[in-house]
Amino acid sequence: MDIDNLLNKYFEGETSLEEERMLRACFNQENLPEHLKELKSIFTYIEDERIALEALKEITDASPSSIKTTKRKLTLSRTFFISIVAAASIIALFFLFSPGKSNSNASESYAWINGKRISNKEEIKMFAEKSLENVSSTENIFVEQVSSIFEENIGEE
Amino acid sequence: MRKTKETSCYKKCIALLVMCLIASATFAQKQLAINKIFEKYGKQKGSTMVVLSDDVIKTYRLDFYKSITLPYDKKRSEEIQQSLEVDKKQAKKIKEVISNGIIYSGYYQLPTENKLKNRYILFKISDNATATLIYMEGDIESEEIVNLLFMKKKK
Repeated sequence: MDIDNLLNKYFEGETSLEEERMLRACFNQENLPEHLKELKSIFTYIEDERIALEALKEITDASPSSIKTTKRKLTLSRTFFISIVAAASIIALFFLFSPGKSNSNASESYAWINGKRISNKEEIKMFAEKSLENVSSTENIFVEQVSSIFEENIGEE
Repeated sequence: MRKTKETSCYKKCIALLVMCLIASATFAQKQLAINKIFEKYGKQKGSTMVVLSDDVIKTYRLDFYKSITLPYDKKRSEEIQQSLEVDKKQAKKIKEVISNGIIYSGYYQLPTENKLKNRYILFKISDNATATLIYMEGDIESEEIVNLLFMKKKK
């Protein structure tokens, strides 16, 4: 079909998709007749738009997979976060119920004297009493300090 | 809707994490700094460590007793003084003799722990360059400890 007839048909809105494709291909050529050059911009614009629409369609088609990836990442980060919380819980529980760290964990009496362990009850009791004697004090600090103040005053007089 | 669920899940996780941290911190607080002294020097030569936790001490209304007597050199002195400084922050009663910034003798009553036990730390530097550190817990009252100590000295 002649290009001029095809153009008339196009402007009357009677062209098929195939005919429009032919028109676009025709106007994409370098050596266009002079009277058709002014129409070139219309058909190259349409061609550009077609390319743009195809690109958009590709993006739209691709979007579900990208959503999937994001969702997967989100799920992963949540799993990671929960793992951290679980690990922290285990550590906290370990600290709370750790038998070796309690202030009063021993269930028996024993003593270590010069690097040697003793379990004889009488001996242990003796060493315990000795340690109590060490911390006991017959000194009355208050009386001692007050009397020293009085002594100083008497000395000054 | 989904976002709300996720936010709620995160909030729960954060709450759990915070609770865990608080539990750990509370536990760390319960641990006394003087425990390090017992652990580090208790089994060394020159030290005497006594741990009592059976019927022997029930007569004194005590559940647990441990003491350590050790040579008081500069390094140990610093460690013990630091530990006492840490532990006495939580004490509800303090009686001490301090000279030149050094605790020469100390009596510390700590807040009651589980099962309403009374807890005490006693410390004294003796004239023979040794130091004695005692930790005890039980139903024993502070007056009873004073009597116990006085009785020992009288003997």
